[in-house]
Amino acid sequence: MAHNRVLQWATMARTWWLFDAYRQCPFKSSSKIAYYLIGKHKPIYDSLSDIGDHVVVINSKYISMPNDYWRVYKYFHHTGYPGGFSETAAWRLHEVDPTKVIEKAVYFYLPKNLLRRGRMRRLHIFPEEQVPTEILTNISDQIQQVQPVPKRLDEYTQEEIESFPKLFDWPEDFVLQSGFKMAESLLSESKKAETGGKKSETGGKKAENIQSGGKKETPKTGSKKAENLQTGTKKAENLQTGSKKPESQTEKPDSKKTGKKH
Amino acid sequence: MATIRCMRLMHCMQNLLLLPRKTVNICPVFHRSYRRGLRRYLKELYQRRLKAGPEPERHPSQLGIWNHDAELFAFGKRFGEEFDENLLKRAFVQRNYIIKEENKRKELGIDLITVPLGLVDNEDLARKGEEIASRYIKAYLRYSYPHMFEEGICAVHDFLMSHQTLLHIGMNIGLRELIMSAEYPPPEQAYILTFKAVIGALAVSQNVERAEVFVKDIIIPQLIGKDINELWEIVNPMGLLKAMLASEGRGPPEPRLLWHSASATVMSLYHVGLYSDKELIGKSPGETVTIAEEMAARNALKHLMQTTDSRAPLTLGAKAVKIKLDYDKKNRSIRDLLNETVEERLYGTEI
Repeated sequence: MAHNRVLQWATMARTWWLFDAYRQCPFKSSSKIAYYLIGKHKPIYDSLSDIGDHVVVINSKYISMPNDYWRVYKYFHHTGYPGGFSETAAWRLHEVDPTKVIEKAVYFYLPKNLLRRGRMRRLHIFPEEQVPTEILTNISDQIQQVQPVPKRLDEYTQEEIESFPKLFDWPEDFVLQSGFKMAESLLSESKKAETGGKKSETGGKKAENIQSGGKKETPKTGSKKAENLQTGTKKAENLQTGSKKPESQTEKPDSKKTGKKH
Repeated sequence: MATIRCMRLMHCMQNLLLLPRKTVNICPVFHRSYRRGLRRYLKELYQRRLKAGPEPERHPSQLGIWNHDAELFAFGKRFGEEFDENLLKRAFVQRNYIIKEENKRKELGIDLITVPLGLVDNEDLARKGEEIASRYIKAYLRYSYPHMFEEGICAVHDFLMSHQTLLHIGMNIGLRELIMSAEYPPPEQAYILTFKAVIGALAVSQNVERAEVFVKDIIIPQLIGKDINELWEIVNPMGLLKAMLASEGRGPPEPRLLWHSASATVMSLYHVGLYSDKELIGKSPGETVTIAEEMAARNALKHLMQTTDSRAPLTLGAKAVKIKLDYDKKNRSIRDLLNETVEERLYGTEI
């Protein structure tokens, strides 16, 4: 009965899957990972049978939370003693242990029964790409990511940015984002000084820079002044000569970052 | 509220429930007393039964309700066959039964020469039946598996004609009470001999073809649910596969790892495929690479011999009426194959 034996062995064997969590939503990923840990992708699936697979998650440090969940999403704990309640923001938990967010999410998505702990033991999470060899040799397939990995602007080459199709140039006095109108004017000022008073306020390049540059992006030409502008508005104001921008449009760039409450 | 009257009624009910009417011959009526000794009495009966042991198995004739001829007639009719009455009777007579009867007569002082017993044992019929069954089974298997090796055919035939299979059949077609043996219940060998003798009796009563149909309907279906590749044990599947491919002029089998999982654990799984001339000829999973490779070779052999799991079922029943068997034909044997390849190796280059 050797034939039936190996067939049964192949049926009941546990497959090892790889999941790359790089810039993936931990909640969507976890529901998918839990699907494999339970074994729902198998034709022999049964809710009470322990037939789930192993899943190795890498790059858990680089997950991306939806919306402002890093700040808003909270993990609660109560010690059981009076006053023992505490809550931790997701960003804080991620700072302490970069595998915890995804682990907790998977634990949440698994069915609440006696098989839950055993299934969690088959989940192997690594914050970086480095995986021990004894685990890596077991892997035979990978799970598709739940969302496409977006490309950051600094990952595009200058050629790609320049060749990006444009329908029109922004008018020179059009304010795209607070602070950048001023940068443009600063650049134009510096160019004026270089060219000896020529009027060159409008220009496609500058518009491009504004389009391409994110909040932290700085145009390469005349970057010094732009940096000054972003870091400290006072200096920029001093340098500013005859700009149309009202002061109310300037905004402190620090305020958008991490929430204070945790 | 346990009044005296209530208690009395309860006792009456208990008595009724405790006594099965047929086994214990006590009249189940309401009694005037409490029957305090009843439990002890039943307990005693139980202990006595344990001490005496179970009832010995007795032939129905000892109970006085047995008509041997009628039972024999019914036996033949159950199979829908026309048996010769005397032949069928002879098919059930064991050798030890005749000896026992002769000894009995000697003790009684009856002369066996003047008053012969007139019984013949079933061994001749059994020999004949076995011969017919064996010949038909082999021809039928060769017809069903024309690409299987002769060794495999013999192995499957041996399984069908084995002690175990025939005993299983014999014990389930109602031979037990009909067998005339020295002891009752009859020994295992008596079932097998009698079953073979019934085949022989049918062949003599009607014809050999009729007996072969009987074999096809009763013995061959024992293969249903069995894997014939498991009935025949191949010692060196890879060597046999090499020889087969060489005889067909194909390239040697080349194992390749198709897929593996959990290699660093005790639950490792490997899928190995065998290729010949860049063509997949068999694949199988296995716990280790070696096992998977061997099983892949067996899988490739199955494909070559056309005995895969997905093969068509055996031709039985109404469909099998029209099949024509060639009793002289033999399948290719492994020995022939090896001789061919050796000859090719030796003389192939010279020619």
